[in-house]
Amino acid sequence: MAPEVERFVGLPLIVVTPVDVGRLVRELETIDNALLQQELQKQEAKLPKTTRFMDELIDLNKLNLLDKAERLRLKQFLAVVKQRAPLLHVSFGADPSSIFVEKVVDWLRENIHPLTLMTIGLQPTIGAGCLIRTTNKYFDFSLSKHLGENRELLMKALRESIATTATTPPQPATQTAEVAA
Amino acid sequence: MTIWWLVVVLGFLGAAGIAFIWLAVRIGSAGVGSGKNRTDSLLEDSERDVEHIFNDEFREELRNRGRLHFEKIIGENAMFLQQDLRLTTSQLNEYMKTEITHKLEAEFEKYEQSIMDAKQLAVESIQKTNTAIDEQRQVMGRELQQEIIAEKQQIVQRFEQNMTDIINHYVLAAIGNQIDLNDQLEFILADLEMNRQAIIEDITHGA
Repeated sequence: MAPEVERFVGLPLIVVTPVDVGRLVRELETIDNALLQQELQKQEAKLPKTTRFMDELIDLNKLNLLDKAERLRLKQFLAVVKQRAPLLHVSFGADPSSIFVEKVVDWLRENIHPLTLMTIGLQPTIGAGCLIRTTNKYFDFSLSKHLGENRELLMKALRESIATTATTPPQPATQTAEVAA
Repeated sequence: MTIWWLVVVLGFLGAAGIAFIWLAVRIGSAGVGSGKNRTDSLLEDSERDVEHIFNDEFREELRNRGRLHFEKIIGENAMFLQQDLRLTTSQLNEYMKTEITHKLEAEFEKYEQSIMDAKQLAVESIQKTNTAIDEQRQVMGRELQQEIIAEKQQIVQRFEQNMTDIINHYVLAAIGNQIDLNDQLEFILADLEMNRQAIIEDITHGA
């Protein structure tokens, strides 16, 4: 990891996708330009209103963006993140909530890589679970994959059920009377 | 029988004619004697006697008698011939009737036999056709049964092959709206944990 990156704690959990990183880079440039203008106009240095992404990034890494050197380091850090951060494409059966995404990202950054980014896809056919595509591999954690892996078990249960149904004589239809409580 | 009667009548008429001619010749040759005088006298006597006996009236009488006798014989023979002809005709009719009846019966028997043969052939043909149809039906039944079994096996095999997708589709249709991703988080993280090393290796050594 580059020395400018080592000083940083990492990315906040709400920064998930490369788009978020790009948004932070643009926002940092905007801040940089705003502070430069204030400096040229000999005004008091004051940070413009920042987004929640930037706020959390600043809080997490204990940064003072009024300091030009820290802004430069942050810019370098974001550039490194944008270029080198491992990217996983994850597809879910339904649109995940932000809390859910944060939990997944938290696990990924804790167990896989601290700068892991994730793009989220929607694939309703998988039902439950998820599909993960890395640079070279494809991981299927979907329900259909689990069913396919346990197909023999399922077929065995199905055959036993059919055999039981075939040997059992059909029961006469019964009607249940609703009893008032 | 009729022909014999005709032959007898004709023979009788021929004998009567021959006897008449012989008598005429005999009488004609009786005048030729030994002595000329005597002969002449005898000839003269005989000629006179002949002329006296066989005068024109007697000859006419004989001719009439012969004619009547001949007509009588002719009439009798004609009658016999007519009877024989009627008898022959009736016999011939009876014979023809019998023969025609026999022929017709024989023809009818042949016709009936041919009809029976044709009927037998038709029955045999129908039986063969029925047998062939039964065999064909059995063969088709077996083939149909085999095709049904094969189709059933194919359907079952296809179901087993696509059972994952079928159950997945069923689960999605049944409880798809009730599946919450938050409930799946534990299982997803467990899957990630199981494949963590592979993901790290791919990220580390990947492109």
